[in-house]
Amino acid sequence: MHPGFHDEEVIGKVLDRQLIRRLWPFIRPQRALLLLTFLLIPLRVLELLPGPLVGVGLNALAGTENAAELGGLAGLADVEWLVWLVSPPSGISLLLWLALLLLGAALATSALDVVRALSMAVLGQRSMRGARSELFDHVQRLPMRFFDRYPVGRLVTRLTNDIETVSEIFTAGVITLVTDLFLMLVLAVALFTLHAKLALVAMAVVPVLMLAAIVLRWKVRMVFRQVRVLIARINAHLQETISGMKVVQLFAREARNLEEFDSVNAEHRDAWFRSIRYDAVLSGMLELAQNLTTAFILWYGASLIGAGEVAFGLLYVFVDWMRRFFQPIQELATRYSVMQSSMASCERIFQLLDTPTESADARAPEVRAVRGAVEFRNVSFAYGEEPVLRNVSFRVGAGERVALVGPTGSGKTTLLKLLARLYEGWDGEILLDGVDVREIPREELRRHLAFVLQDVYLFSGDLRYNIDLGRDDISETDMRRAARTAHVDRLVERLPEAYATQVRERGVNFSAGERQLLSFARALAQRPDILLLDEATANVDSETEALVQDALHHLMEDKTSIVIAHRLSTIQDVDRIFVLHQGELCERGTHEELLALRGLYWRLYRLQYTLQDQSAA
Amino acid sequence: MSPVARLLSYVRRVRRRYVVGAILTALYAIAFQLVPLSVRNVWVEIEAGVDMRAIGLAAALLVASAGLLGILRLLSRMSLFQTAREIEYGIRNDLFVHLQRLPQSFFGQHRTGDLMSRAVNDINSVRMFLGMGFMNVVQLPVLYLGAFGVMFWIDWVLATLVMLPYPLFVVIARVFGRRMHAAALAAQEQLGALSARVQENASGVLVVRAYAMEDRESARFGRDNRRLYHRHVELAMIQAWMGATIRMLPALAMIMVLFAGGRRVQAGLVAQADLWAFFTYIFMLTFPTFMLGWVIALAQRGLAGLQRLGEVLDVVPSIADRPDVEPIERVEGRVEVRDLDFSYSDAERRPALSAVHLSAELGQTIGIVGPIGSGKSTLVNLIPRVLEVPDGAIFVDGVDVNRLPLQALRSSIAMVPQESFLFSTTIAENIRFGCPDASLEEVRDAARRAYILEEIEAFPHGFETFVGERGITLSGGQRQRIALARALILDPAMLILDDALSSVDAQTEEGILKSLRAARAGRTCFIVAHRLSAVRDAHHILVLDLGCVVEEGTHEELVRKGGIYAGIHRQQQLEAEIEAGARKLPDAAASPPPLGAGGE
Repeated sequence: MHPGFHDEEVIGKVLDRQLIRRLWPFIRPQRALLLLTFLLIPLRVLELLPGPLVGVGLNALAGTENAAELGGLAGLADVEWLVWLVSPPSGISLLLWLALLLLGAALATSALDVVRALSMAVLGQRSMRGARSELFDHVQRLPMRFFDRYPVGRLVTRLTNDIETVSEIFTAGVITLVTDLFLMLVLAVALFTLHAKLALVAMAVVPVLMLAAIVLRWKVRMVFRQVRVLIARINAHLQETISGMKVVQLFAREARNLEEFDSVNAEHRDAWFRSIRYDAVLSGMLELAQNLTTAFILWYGASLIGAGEVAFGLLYVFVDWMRRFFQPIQELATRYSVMQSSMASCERIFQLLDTPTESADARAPEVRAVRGAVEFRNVSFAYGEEPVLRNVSFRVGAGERVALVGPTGSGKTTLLKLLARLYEGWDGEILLDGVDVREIPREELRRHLAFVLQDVYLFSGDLRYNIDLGRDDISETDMRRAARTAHVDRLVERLPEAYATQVRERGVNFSAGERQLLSFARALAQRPDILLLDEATANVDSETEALVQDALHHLMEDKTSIVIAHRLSTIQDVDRIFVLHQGELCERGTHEELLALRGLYWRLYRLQYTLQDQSAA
Repeated sequence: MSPVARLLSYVRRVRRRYVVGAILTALYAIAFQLVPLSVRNVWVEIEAGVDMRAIGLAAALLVASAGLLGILRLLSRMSLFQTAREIEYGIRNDLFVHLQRLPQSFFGQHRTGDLMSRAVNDINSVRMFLGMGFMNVVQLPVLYLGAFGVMFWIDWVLATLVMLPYPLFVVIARVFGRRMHAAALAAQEQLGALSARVQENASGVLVVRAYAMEDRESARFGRDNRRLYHRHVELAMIQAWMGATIRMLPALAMIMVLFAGGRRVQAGLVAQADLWAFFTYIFMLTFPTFMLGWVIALAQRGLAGLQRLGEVLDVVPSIADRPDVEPIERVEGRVEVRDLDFSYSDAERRPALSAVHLSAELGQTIGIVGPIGSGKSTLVNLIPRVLEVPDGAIFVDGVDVNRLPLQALRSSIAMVPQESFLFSTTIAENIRFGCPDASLEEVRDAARRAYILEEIEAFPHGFETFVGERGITLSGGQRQRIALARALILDPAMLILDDALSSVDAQTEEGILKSLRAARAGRTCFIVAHRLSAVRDAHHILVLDLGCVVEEGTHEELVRKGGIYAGIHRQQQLEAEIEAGARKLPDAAASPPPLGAGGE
């Protein structure tokens, strides 16, 4: 709401050499296309051909049929290739020949246009596809801590809008700018070569126009700065209001909010009004300049014709080419702002790419069998300042089932996350079969584990994908077997499209219990050696509860299981229990042993199960 | 409303300025004809023998028309483009107003990013069409009609020949227009799919990492990415072909003039000067013709934008003042709930609330407790009509809430929602959110009552400290207490705390409850709580489970009853002991229930 705080205010330079250098690796694979695009630029002189062709035609109609003489009178005599070009083959009249040449030039120009537009589009889009993939891969390797702070929405913007904006460098930026300048230069040189004095007259207004264009562009640039800031503010305002809409409505703040939004919106409009004014002035001046130039050419040209110095056709060439010369000037301001915003987006993308990723794995992942013995040795850990785990040591034998118990915030989930190396930077050692997990490549390590989280996250896509998670080494039969064991098959039977049923965003079309069963099926399908389970606490109806418990029982079979337990049945199923309190392991043993101890577990046990006990009683 | 009808309704609002702009544009297009005519005059003079005085006069006429054209172009562009920006401003404000009227259910179905994109990108495409597009729509017909009119006047045979290629434009527009629309929409949709993929990957990052799905996710993203690339290239292809085809039109006309015109000059049927005029015309029409292709693209994008805006603007707010609204300015705060059934439309099969009833007299405090998912939050969110309330179920001061003016109802309620959303502004601005004119003294007082004053003052910028990414990161408890201060600064008839103290430690909660006791005097108050300490002195307590009222009464009654409430009560006493680090064994319930006894 406050107009101060958004990162969109960063205004990029028009051409930042450092950014261009960093952009190069993405363009490099397309360098053949880039070369082609640049090679096509000189061919655009074809667009200039109609002028002289019509000029020669006008000369011819003025009474000269001989092509060589034509040139002489037109002042085009020095242009040998033109004389050669307009000499018709025998049997064809000059007019027809010129018409055919015009047609040829038009077709060639159009064809070139298609090639140019396509090569630019492909060049830009391919480079950006590469950049997007690289950015996504980079995000896949960023540490979990990064996601704790970086809002998802901003990540989406980086990978979509920002990349789109950068791609405009190719289609509407550098290449077009270079082409425009090239054509203007060619035209100026050509006109001066044809007739220096007439060219001087024709160009008379150009310096004035250029000066005006530069001054106005400078002003437009200042306005553009404001516009960018204002549009960012509009965005920020919208985002805040939409995300906090409930509070806005509850506090009946709509009118005041609108007032605030309106003032930014109006400021944005007014900035554009200024920009439009400058733009319109430039546009009007351009119109004036074009027609003034035509008048100058005709007036001075007439006197040259009177003196017998030039022919009619030359005047036409001058009028035609001067109009083409003026065309790009209006676009300069637009190109400029496109470049500016592209550079700003570039900068934000590279900022993200510069965020350090997780440390590299020690070696390439391999397929190795593990027994599944886990040991925590003097493990201490903190997300920030406050330690979450203090000097925790315990051992879980291969195939053993253990439960972690403790009040909220005692560090249970963190233990599981560390074992999976989702967070790093702990003191002490975590061992799998006696090997420090930091020595095991993350992918290999995680293939041995199945992590069932309390909050079941479902991906959009079909049910099948949500069970096999896209692993193609899980066959249809295995997937179905896992689904059956987790009692998902009952749910699937009710769905007309069975395993092809699409899961909607965040899985809203499934109930809490169904989602839990799905997450069990998912874990079963991965055939892990070690199960890490954070049991869900959500209330489900008693029928589903029975299914959940049965599925859970199967889930823990034949593998090392470390479970954060909330259910009585789960506690009954495990071999040993570890009790955590404020990041310390304070009690361990079997259920009976711990109850007999009458310590924290005993109290926690009663705490957690009174309600359950109560409602069942 | 159809996209076109919507467009017209916006144009109508600024019709005077639009008409002025249109007239200026038409004048420009008419004055445009002066140039080829003046050129022809110069040429006539040159042909007649080089009399520099006469030629000078003819050239002067050209200079004069150049001046006129320049001024008309300046004015027409300025008026039309500014009017288009004015409309853009209007649509954006309308959209904002509309969004603020839409219910929570709408925002559950639409992603914020998508709505923002509509308010910025889609409105922009509409604006482009209204400005540049409309200018060309007015200008091009006048330009062409004028040009061909003059050409006909000069030589109708040649004019007819020159015109021949132009009807092809209709074919081009038909062939490419539809494809372009489809391709543009496909690209837009694929971009949407890609954003959804990124969003999902980032939201589900824990699962992605835990199951080592990174490579597979990259592959999925790669597929979407490739698809987007193809859509973009496809669109570029259509645009390139359309541009190239349209380019051929003036070229063909030029060929006609050169060949057919040349023959007619040779036959003595047309003067040289007239041929010049024809060439000048065709040349001057070249760029406007290129514009035609662009106008098609602008129109397609503009209409697509309007369609997407319509998808939001056409949603009738399901929570709004109805025709039978009672003209009440402020409510007193008696609340009655009768036989309330409520279901969220799509997500759940089981109703969130069924047959709930309650009655709160003026100044009473109602406590609401129950397990997660039991419907507590739903119940209190229905009172300020954040959710769609069924008719005849909730009454405030004896009037069905659906018949109360929303403004009056909501400004009589101060609510601390479950998720303590704070805006990215200063702490002071957040606290005075509901009464923007509150003095710093009042803000401080509210903060004090919410037990957050000292902590705020310890921040380097005090109340001017920014909240959010760019500012300070507040703890959950701090956020909740600021949200509480935001509610307490109001002087409402009703106060609703929706599990508002869950992240606050027991000691602070104790203090807050004490200060609330004063605030609650004379106000109807609803407290949804996890800890029973927050509701123990309520006049009436509801215990909800699976959407039904399973127990009710005062704290003492419920404890005596020995039901669910009593169970929670005992549990929390134990919890308090653990939190306090008490090593002493509790007196009550000396032996734990044997294993399995609680199960079935």
